[in-house]
Amino acid sequence: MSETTTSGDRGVKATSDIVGEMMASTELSVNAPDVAEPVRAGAIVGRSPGQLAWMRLRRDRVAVASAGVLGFTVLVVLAAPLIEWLYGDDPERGHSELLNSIGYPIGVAGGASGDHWLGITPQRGYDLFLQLIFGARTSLGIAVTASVLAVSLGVVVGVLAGYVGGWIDRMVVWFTDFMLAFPFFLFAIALVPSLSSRLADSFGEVAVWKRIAVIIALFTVFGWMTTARIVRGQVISLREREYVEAARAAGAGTAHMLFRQLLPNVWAPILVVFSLSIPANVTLEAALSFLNIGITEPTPDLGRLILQGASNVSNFGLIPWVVFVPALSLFILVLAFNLLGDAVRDALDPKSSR
Amino acid sequence: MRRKFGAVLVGSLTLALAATACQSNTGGPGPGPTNVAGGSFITVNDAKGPAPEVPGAVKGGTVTAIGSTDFDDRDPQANYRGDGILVYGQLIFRALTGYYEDIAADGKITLKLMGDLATSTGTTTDGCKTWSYTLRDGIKFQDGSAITSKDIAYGVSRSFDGALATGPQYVQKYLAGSDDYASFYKGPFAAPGTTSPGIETPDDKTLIFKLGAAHCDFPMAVALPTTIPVPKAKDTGPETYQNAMVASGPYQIESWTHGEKMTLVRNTNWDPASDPLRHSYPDKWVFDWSGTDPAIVSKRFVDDAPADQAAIQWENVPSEALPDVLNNPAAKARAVEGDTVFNIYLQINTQRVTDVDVRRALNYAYNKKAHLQVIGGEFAGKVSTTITAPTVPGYKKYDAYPAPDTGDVDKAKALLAGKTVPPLKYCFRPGTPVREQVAAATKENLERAGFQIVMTPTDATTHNTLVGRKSFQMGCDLLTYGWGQDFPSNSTVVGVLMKGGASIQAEGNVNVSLFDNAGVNAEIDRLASEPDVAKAAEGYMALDEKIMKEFAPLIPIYYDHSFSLAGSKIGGLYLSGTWGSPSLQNVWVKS
Repeated sequence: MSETTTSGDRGVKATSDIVGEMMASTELSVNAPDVAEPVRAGAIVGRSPGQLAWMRLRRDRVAVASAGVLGFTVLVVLAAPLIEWLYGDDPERGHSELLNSIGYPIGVAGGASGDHWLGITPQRGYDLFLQLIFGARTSLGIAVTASVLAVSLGVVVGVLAGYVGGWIDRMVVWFTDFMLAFPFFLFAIALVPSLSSRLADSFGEVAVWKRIAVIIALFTVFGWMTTARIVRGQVISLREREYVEAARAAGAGTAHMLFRQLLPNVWAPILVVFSLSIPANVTLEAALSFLNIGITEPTPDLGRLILQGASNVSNFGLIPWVVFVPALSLFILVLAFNLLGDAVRDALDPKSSR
Repeated sequence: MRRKFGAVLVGSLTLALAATACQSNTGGPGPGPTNVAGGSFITVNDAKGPAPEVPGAVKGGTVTAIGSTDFDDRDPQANYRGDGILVYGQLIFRALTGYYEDIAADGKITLKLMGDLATSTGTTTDGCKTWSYTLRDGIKFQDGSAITSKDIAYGVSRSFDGALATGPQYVQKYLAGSDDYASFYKGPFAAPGTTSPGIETPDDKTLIFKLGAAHCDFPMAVALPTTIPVPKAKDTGPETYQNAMVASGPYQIESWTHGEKMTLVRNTNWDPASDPLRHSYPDKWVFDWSGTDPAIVSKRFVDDAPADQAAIQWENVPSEALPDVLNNPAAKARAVEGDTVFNIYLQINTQRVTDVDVRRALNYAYNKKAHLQVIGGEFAGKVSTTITAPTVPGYKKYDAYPAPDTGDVDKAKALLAGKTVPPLKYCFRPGTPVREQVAAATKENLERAGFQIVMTPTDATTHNTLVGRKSFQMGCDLLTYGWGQDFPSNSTVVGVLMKGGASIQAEGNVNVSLFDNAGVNAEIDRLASEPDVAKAAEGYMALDEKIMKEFAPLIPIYYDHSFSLAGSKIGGLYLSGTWGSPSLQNVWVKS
């Protein structure tokens, strides 16, 4: 769906000046990614494929909006301690004085007030606004780190398998299939609690960063296969190309072949996989917390907030914020990541949008 | 007994148990009845089976109880959780004596202590030191073999084994004449072929207990699971007998997957004519602990779908489901509610946290309201300030550390001024969002006062066994622990929770704060032998206040309240004041 939207946008939005550039870029990229000579030298001088992709991306309204949402989120998440200081509350402070005798917020709209903009959560009386910001920080931190690690691992494995070939390739493919067949949630349910408890310190406490590390490690171990498969396929198709043959004939070393000849040309799918794996990890992390095996109290977490919202869904007249805001935030975040990922794919590889 | 993990009842019946008059000259619980707060407690020595019919009740059907925590210790002699004792006692096993709750038309409960396997609650002629029992005719195990006095003697003997120490310890201590019953007798596993000294079985129908000291509450002590008969030939050991237990009550265990599900079917060898305590209306019972979220279970009960109409909720309605129940009049009418015998504490390890001012500061700092709000507020309990619960005879309200329900941080900080308190280890049972929220609330509201709290989750499945283990207790500074009376006397609350010395044992230790004070121990010993029950009750309450003021070994958090739901086809359900759980005694399925 996003493909048609983005290409439609391009046509509508383009001013006369830009039309030229765009036509140049689209015409060119139909041929081969490594050819970057502009046909109409009159309007524009030489541009690299990267520059062209960037241009296309900039003109994609959906991409710009998604990037805006994500940029804002990242800004808020990074500035969380500052916001906390300005706001004058602590995300982990319970306000039992603002809850009634059965643990529900006093007042309208879930106890929303000048001090608590989105109200407070039931049972514990946390400030929802701060929980949301700090929860998003936990979730995004885990998702981005895990995606970087998983994609990096996938690239290494994929390039190795694709380039070396032979029995190593067969082993890697077999192992990748094996890992893909593993049921992630069963594994997570079995592994996370036992692994976490083994990481307890001499006091018996499991530090928050250790829990986070366990989840990141889990996502990495179960997240590299897609990247590896895609990269392997790309590398296999590329390694028989003439320019690779040429480089090989010229006596280039393995490192040169891998990093100078092959990797730059699988860069596009890697970026796409990366941008799509972040939202997948955000939802997975939320799902783990939803199953109560992710990040535990009192560390704020988006998944746990959503769980609380879900269990209060029939009380939505009582606390609309608690029910809708966390789920809506996750929805917007994941949607923005997905749309941006689609736009990146379109920009890097316009063939796919035709 | 240890706190239960869920409860249900119909109506709004609260039973405060009356003290039994123990007369040292004639022996046996006194003549009664003594009316207290709508309920009364009497001893019936000529009870005969079958139990009187419940009006309107019919036989048949399957009742499902849905909860989230299996009874922790399954062996009959090790089972000590309120709802576990109730299910064992009312459905599966018989003991020497037992309770029958007689409900009058106006809803008032008369609690009757009667002979169960025995014909009477016991006779004594020497001032409560020797107790003799005659067994009923027609009592049989599930395999059809007759229950003899030797099976009961063997059951009591095996309760001495260290592996079964999580169970009640009254009979063992009474026989030994001291708290250190382990050195009196090691049990039939350590000493094969023996039974406990002090138990005599001159024939298959007669059982004589010769106690180490006079105990006039012995008839109530033998109502606990300690006296459940165990056929020696079928006992494979303290760890394995739980997998093949031999029933003596109206139902037998068809299957039991620990932590998930237990199915009970009729025991055809149980003869109602031999049993004055039990009915057996449903054909089958299913206890389902397969881990469904209590909030979702509550919503199922609110909806009352056909599959859940013959079901009982085996735990409280959690906070997040309360609005659903309260806003739905039809569901609220099926809610069963009442105060229970349990009092929930945050136990402070007095051997690690040795500075009494720190323990006092903890008492001031604790935010009891925040704790209650997480678990359901007024529907889960009322703020407590004493060790003794209001259901215990002699209870008197006092508050050693007056503070708002949310705690008094300033008073706590004043007590801590100039002190360096090391980080405190808070051990808690993890596994559900509610437990983790309670833990987070505890950490946060104690840290407001300047404490450093280290969260130490225990193993959720073996938590209850761990909590009674001294070596485990020594590794914690703070531990949440609930307690309810074993029978209507403060000797089973303050008398066991605060008793130090030999009473603190390696396994099954209920003195979780490891509080050991010579003066308090002497006073508990004095009160245990006090012949005047009312005076003793008063003495225990005074001791309770003195302990809290001078030593602050624990933080009383809340007096437990039960609020749960049942399906529309369940008849005869009410809250058992004795065990603080829904009583299954009269339950039947409406067609």
